Amino acid sequence: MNAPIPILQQATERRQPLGFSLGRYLRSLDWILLGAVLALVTYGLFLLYSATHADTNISSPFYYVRSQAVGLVLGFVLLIIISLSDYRWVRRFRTYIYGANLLVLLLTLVIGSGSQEVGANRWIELPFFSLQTSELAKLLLVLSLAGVLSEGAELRHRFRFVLFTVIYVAMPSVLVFLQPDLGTALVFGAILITMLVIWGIRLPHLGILGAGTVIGAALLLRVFPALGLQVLKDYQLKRLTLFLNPDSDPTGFGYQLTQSKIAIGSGMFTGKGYLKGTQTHLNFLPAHHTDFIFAVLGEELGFLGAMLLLGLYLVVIWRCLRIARLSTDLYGRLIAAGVAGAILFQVFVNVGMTIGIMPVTGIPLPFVSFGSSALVVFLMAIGFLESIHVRSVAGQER
Amino acid sequence: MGVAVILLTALFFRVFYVQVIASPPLQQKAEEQHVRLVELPAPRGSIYDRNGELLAVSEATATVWANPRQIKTEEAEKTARALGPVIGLSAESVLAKLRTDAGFRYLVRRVGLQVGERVKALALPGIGVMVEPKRVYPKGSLASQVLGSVGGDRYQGLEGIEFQYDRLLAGTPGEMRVVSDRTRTRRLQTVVTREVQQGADLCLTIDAQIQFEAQKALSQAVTDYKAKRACAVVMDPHTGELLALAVTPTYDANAWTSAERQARRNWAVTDQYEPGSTFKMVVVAAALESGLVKPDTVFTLPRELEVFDKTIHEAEDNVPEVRRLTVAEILAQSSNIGAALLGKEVGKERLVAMIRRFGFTGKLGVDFPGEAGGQMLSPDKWNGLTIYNVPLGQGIAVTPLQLAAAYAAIANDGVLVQPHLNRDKTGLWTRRVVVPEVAGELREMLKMTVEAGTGRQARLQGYVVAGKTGTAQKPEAGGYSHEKVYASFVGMVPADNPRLVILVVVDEPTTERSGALVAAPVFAKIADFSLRRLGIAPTVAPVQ
Repeated sequence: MNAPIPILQQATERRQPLGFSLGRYLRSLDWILLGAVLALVTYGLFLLYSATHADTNISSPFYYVRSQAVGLVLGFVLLIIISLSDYRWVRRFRTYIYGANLLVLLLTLVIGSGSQEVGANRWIELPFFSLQTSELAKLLLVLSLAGVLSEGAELRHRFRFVLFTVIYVAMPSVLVFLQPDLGTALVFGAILITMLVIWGIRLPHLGILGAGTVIGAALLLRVFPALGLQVLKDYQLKRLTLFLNPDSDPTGFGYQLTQSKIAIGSGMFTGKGYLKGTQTHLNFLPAHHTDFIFAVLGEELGFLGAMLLLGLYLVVIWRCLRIARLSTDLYGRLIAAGVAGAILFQVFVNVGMTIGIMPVTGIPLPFVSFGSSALVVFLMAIGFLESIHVRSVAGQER
Repeated sequence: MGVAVILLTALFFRVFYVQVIASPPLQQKAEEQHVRLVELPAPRGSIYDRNGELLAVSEATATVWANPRQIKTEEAEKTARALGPVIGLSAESVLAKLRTDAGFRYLVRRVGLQVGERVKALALPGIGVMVEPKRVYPKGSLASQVLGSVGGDRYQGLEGIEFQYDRLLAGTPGEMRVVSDRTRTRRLQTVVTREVQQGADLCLTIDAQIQFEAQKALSQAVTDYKAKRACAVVMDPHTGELLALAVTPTYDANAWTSAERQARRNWAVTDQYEPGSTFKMVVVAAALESGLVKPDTVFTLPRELEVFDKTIHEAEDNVPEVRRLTVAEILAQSSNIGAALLGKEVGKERLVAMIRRFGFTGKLGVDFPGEAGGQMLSPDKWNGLTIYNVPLGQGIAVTPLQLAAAYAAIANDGVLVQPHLNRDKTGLWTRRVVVPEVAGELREMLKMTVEAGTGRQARLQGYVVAGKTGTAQKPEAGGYSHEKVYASFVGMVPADNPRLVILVVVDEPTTERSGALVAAPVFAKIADFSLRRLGIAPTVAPVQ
């Protein structure tokens, strides 16, 4: 391990004798971030209730809301615990975290359960919880990659090191991709790019990576299928290109896209009113509680409701990046950047998908889409950000 | 942060575009998806006879349908076996329907509501029951050609009165705005946007009992004389009301689809025939109206009349070389030569004018679909022979209804009242055809025809009858058939103050051919029943 940056050590040493003070802890939290996240999850619960209360195949109108609320409580408990503890402590275990990540993802491929409709094994059944491992993998990747990058701070000029990080991220990506979960694999890529940029990747290296991504995408989407080599499943390929012309597939995924656009468009400026979305409740809008929950929002609460949601995300990302800037060490800075990158990417791709400017990749909306695993993991991530904030310059000054 | 702002701004603009700028068509699409307008069928009005007897009524029935695409292949057989016995079909035939690739198939239509209830109780997926109206004619074959039929997709009137008064009977279907989910299994909101306007009831001028008696008498005649068909018109000359419009052979109106198209024709209104001797009244009317003759004006008649290359004969063979007959006798004895000479005397202009005034050249405008008008050779195309033929009822075609209406005008002191079938019809036209004196003179002459002339078979106990027989040979290629005739009798009763005009036409009787023998007795039967039915007091003391 490299020697820590001196100023960091000083700060650590200065804090330790003082012991734990609840008042100091509370004062040093980023309340704006916490408030925005709390607002988002609450907003999400209301939307989830609207989206699902009228579903006919559930026993109670609160079925999904209750399940999500359980994740919410668990997530907040973990958030508080994590924010109380020192994130720098995690850095030491980066290799174990990385290994555990690969192991869990591998295990998912072997013993994971899934639903017939997606034809993918994404969950590991735990006693009280079924864990969607790809969601956990995002956080584990951020934590381990931040460790690797902060260790390699002196290697910025070495393209070989950059290439190493690409391979480092590619391994869990492939495992996730094999589930198959293309969306999460893409989120891993977004995390990598964000963290490399914040880390200070040299511009030419970034250019090479960019070019490589374009070539890779072209190979996947056009060249391999033409050669008969099937890396992407048919439905994945179709979904990726369909948004350009949703009418070409009026019954399948094109139907989803068209319906989503109709739902959002028919919401107009102020929406049809909470619980009054016809497209949602009459089952015209598929997957309305997961990937297409933004369409429920757009239909019922209109442009104003959508702007409120995007505004909250902007606040969250702003606070994340601010924490990255304020962080006293590179490790914290990279974690904050990785989380911000994941959130931004997921919001952009998900919302973009529902309004027809992004392909269908199966990426949910952070804090809002139904899925306890994702909710717990994102709240844990916010816990890390708070931990960074508490220990940052801004936190310490209070 | 810059990247975040740019990406979220992109979303902002796109959301703004979708929700505000491009929104109206999307909203319309949304509406189209979940809002359907469902038509609520209006119950069809009933049809009654003039006395409130029910002739046609609509019943609610159950129709069982299937959506074969909703039935899983492995469940089709089970469904068919459960359903077959309930709806009275074999399991195999049900299965065949379930195995078609369609989103909708009728399994059985218009069966009892209790059958529908039993099907509903089975709760089979992909099988549905809906209520459909069914037209029922409680009196079966009574006036079936008048009533017509109902059918087609929208169950509308197709023939007869059902067609004529379809808009009145049908009412206006209501409309319901239904908000339903994608599979249409749930209805979230239903709003009646247009109330159902029930179809109105209709009262006909027909008297069911007279109609029944007329049909019975006609059927009897058709059987007795091995005729092709027959029709009868019973009319109130003062009001234009048609008390009976009977056509035989008959058919059950409830099973109209299995009746032949020809049998469904109400040919008393829709078909023309050459009237023959019954038409002689017209030339006499023209002669009297013009003042050229009086009923007692005497004509000297040869046994035969040579006109160009044709010879006009009398119907009977043993006529003397020369006869002297009054105008009344010409009518009473139905003299062809007399009528022909009267025609010549009256002249083309006056004869044509009288034919027109009786309404033979146009339509009467009776409220029945497919009414035929008369057919007369255009006056400028008449040849030398025509003026001798037309007075005999040859070379002119009319409908039975027209002929009955013409006699009704005579019965009603010379005024023709538009015949009609809807008892509540307003705006009827009336038209004076001849002056009352001429009408009275004609009635006297027609009385003579029955009392002492060719119409003796039409005489009745207690009532004086005025009428005229007709035996019209059917035109064939190159002349007239001797075998195929229309035997007819048209009369009015009581002769001095006629309450009824009755026409009977028997088409192609074979065992007897003359109107006097075939049609006049049918007239008598119908008249006898009708007079008693209407409570018209006898005018002469019954012969003890």
